[in-house]
Amino acid sequence: MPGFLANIEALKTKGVDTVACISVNDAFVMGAWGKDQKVGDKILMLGDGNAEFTQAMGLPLDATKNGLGIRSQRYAMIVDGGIIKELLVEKPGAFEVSTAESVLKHL
Amino acid sequence: MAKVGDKVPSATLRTMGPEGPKPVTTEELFAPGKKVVAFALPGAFTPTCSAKHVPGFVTEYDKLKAKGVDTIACISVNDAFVMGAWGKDQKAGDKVMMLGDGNGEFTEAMGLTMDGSKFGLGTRSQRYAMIVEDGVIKDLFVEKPGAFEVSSAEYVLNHL
Repeated sequence: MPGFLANIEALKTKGVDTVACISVNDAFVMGAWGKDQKVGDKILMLGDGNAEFTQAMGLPLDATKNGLGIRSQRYAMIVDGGIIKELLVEKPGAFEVSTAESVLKHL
Repeated sequence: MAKVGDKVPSATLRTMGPEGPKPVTTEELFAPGKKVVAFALPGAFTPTCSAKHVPGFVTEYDKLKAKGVDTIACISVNDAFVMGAWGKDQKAGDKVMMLGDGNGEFTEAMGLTMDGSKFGLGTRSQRYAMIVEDGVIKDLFVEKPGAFEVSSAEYVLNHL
């Protein structure tokens, strides 16, 4: 999250209209988290509370072992005109390809 | 649904510790010799839960303790990270133990789930409070949908 906040200007300069953060949490939690992270109107905080989007993407993560239920894998994507142009899915536990820096390189 | 006289079902909840999420079994939480008031609600950071339910138990902490309550626990189908952040936000300190039932296992075992998928909440917990002694449910106050009456700290106090 801080990475996308720090790079928001660079992303905008590359022609990005919207930066959105999606998680299997509800809108109340996403709102509170956005406040905590001081995202303001820079990042759209979106809750996928029923995990419908995550299931439809085919990117759920079974985190029941850690008391998290069904969540989302970590990934980033570039969507242009509703079409996925790039899909950068992390390996389990990794944080490399879905960073703001990585996305910037693909824009 | 669980009822008065039942043993609290077995499940593992999670609390946020200094080093991250920490498992808390119901056997530890509702151990023999302990009087516990547990209340459950649909979700962290949601309006009624944040404005009334949790604050009531934080405010009435001293009175509950004076009635012999050892532990006050708040349970929600959220993860330990969310429960920890919410506890901080609510200034629960060490007065109310914030417990996440992230898989909904405890809530399922209690038979008190609520389908919140229409509101993008997935499967959550109904709002209720219970008084547990020696691991056995002594009182169970389940709210009608949308209500906030019988599970309040004040209501529980009157039954201790």
